[in-house]
Amino acid sequence: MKTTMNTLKSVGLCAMAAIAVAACSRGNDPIPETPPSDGTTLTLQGGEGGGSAVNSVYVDLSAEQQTSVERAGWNLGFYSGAGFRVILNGTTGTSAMDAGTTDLAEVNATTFDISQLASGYEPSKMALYDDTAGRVEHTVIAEIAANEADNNVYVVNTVFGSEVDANNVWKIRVLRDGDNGYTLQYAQLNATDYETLRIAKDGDYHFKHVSFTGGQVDGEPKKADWDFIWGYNIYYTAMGPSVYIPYAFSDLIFINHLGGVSAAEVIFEDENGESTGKPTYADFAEADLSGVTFSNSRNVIASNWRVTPSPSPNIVVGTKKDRFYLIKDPAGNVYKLRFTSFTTEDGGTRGYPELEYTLVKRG
Amino acid sequence: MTRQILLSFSVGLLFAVPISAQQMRTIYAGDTLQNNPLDEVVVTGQYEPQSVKNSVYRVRTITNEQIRLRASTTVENILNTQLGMRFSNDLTLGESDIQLMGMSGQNVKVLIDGIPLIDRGATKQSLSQIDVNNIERIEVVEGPMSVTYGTDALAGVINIITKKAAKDNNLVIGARIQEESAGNEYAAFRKEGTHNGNLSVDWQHRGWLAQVSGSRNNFGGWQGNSEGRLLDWNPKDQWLASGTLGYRNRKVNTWYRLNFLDEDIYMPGALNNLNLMAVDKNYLTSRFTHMLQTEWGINDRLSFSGAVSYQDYERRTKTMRYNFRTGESALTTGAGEQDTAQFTSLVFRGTLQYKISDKVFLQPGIEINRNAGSGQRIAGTPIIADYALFISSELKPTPWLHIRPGLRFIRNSVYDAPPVIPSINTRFRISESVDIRAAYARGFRSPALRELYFTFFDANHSIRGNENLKAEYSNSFNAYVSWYGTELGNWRITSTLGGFYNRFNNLIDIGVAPDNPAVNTYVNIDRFRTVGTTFENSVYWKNLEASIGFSYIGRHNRLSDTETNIPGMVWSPEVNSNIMYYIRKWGTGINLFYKYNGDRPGYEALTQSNGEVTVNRTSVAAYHNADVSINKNITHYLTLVGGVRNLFNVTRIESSSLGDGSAHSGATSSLPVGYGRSFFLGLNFQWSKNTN
Repeated sequence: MKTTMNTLKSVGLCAMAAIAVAACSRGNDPIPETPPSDGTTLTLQGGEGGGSAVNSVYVDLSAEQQTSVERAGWNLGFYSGAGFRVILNGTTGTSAMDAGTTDLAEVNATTFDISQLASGYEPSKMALYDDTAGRVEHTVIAEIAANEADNNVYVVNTVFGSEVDANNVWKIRVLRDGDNGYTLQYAQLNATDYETLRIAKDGDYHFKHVSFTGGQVDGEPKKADWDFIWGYNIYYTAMGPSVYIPYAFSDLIFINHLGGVSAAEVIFEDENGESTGKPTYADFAEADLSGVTFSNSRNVIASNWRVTPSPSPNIVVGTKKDRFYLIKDPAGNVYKLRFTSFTTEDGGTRGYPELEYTLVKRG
Repeated sequence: MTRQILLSFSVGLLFAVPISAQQMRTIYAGDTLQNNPLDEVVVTGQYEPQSVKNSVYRVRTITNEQIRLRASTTVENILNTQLGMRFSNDLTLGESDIQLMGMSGQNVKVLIDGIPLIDRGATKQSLSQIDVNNIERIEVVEGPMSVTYGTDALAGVINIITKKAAKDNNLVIGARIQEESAGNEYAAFRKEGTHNGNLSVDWQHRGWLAQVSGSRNNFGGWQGNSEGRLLDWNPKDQWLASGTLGYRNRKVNTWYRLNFLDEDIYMPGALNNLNLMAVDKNYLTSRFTHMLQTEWGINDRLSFSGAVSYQDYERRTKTMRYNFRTGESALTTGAGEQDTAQFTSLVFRGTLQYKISDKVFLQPGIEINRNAGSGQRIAGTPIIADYALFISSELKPTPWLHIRPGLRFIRNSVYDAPPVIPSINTRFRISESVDIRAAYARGFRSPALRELYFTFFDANHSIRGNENLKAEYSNSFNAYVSWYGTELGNWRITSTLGGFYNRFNNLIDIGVAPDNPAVNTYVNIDRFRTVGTTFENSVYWKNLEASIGFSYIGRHNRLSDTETNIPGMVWSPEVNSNIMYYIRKWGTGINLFYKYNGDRPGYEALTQSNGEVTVNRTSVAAYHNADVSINKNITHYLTLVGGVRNLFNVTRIESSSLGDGSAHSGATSSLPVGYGRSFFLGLNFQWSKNTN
């Protein structure tokens, strides 16, 4: 009884206090702290195209959010971080070469052999594409120099392929625009004139995206709003011991390494289906995190999570069932994540991979 | 006597030799004639049916007796103990391809009653889509027969002769039922194992004949090393039917035949435990083969043979997704997962046989082929027409010499065909029991529809057909010495020693397109050669018929063109033997069919990290093939057959790199050969109105 009285009293006091505060001011509208997602299942919307689905998909685990971005919707990305860097659109396998001059007018199909921009299974072709580890300081296009005369023209082929169509080939020259932006000069390869576009850096994003036909366009979400990207991308494969060639992969997964995301792969079954001693997806709990080393490499997951058809015998096509992944987002939330299907053979649909994840530790 | 039999039998087993006896033939085949095996009549490449001995070609036959005594349910099984023949299995597609004399199926011509069977690609899948119950015998000619049979006949010709009604008025009803395990797996009449059944009715009356036959050939697959829903060998269900209508009199023999096949190869997919879904594939094939053939004896010197065939081949790929949670199923939508490829072929062949004199026999002929195809990976709906004129002659200037020169002229609607294909075959009769055959022939293979019109472009594939391909051609030489042995009491021995050399040019292979180094296409790039020797022997003794053969075949080692210190040819030996022995007292025959496939060496090049190329020796392991069967007559109408297939229980053979000990050598993979030792039991029933 006494307790009840006390409770009533406190409620009353609180209410009065609240009224008093509210009466004084309506400011400080409390922003509710959104708890991170406990986990869910997602079907990524890669869109039409099967193995070369038209979209890249950015995933934010804690917000249960996915953002589809048309792969062909942009051509270049202008780095908003420290330094002046321009990336090629790897999701279309864009290739580029230094034209060896600073004069856009001088570059055309006569002075530049566009077949050099064709894909091919030779180690030398690696030079046509940006770094396969996603390091910003290893782009095809050299750092944009403060001294204008040091910035060469590049020839860019926007469509990956063994045959180069001149309609997809552009020439560009990028200059600094003060301390916080870029000036892009661009034209079709044989044009005698060029267009100019100014792109300002924006600290909310890693990159600001530009399309040759659409100007400045939306591309990847804000850098804090995604954990990994799924989709088709130029990558590499081994052609022999330590011999690497560029190779376009479907279903690549890159973590947001520039945004502070890290990840780990947990393989709990060996080739014979025996336990490796590590916990399974179902068993993995916060206590198991102590034995895990997270990596900030962009390619922790890459293509390791699935098996594609191959002429070799006894290949089971589908997502790999012997492993799962741990992803630590910038807020410190750790999720365990596994892929449940990605292609016809495992009951899925190519271009619409399915995954499930669960919060292991709240950040 | 008994001891002798036992002795020869054990000797036979030791050396893996074959046997058969006239008596057995009589009883088994209901034949009243005591056939001399050398009088066996062959038709492949002949102007008129000819005895094996008198044929200018060296023709090998697999007789009806052998086929029946072995109780095969597939053509592969009939042929897999033949010298120089090997099969490779593609378990993903549930298909197999033949190799003859070191060359793969695209250089082998498969005929049914002299008419080429169409295939959707280069592999000779058609061999597995023929009803074994309708096969009278199989004739094999090694070496090119391109003058007579046109494209593909480089390595040789396999001509499957179907059963024809005998001449007399009769009504014959036959039935067969056979059950076979697939290795250690078996269930009665359905699912695991092989289940074969056939029903046939043959009727003839006053020159008219009608035949109807229906078969089921069901294989339930075999799990092997696979787990869950997956199978190493996928189930295959075939329904085959045929009907023949014909009329024959003294001058004309005309018949029409329709063969039908319905095949369903089922490929169950793995169950995904995370979403409880599985995706299954079916490859559904239907084939209609219409054939109209006629032989017309115009007079004593002149005859006409004509054949028209129309084939319709359709292969459908069906992919279904099953949701085990909800029980729902739906077709999938990925590229190529639902596809229908269709091929049609029209063949006309007409030949005149004109006997100018006893010394000169002339055969002019015409052949027209029209092939059409369509499907997801074929560009457009191409049609290829091929017109050929050929003429050959058999000259017998003296009784001991037999010369057959021939020429073929070709015109093709798509590619530049070789203008003329020559051949010359000779037979020298040294004595009554020894003769020599020697031949030169040019063989050719037209680019296949797929090579001309294939198209496959995706993220990492750029392959297109090439309409500018030329034909592959070969120059081939072969020679055989045959000894027909004189009768030695009850013994008769025949032996043939032969050798061949084939040089292939312009072989079509995947290469880089000349106009764009980044696109792959088919190009005439490769050269190849094969050399080999064969030694075949047969022994007939009372109730025993045995054969033993050896071959040693060398294939060109392509790497030797660019690398030094490795041999130009790689060699592989083979031994085969058939033994058929009949125990009259028991009405029982015991038969062994055996072959040893020697290991097949090869070389592979590996690019090391420093850019250097190292060459490794590789090897495909040797293996033994053997079937044993026992036949017993139960009543006049009923025969029981049982036995063991794949006696040596071979499933996979190793294909290894014997490398240099570095990290990337020693990779071993295995090639599927069979599904292990299997047992079979069957009943054959044959009733005829006019018993003899």
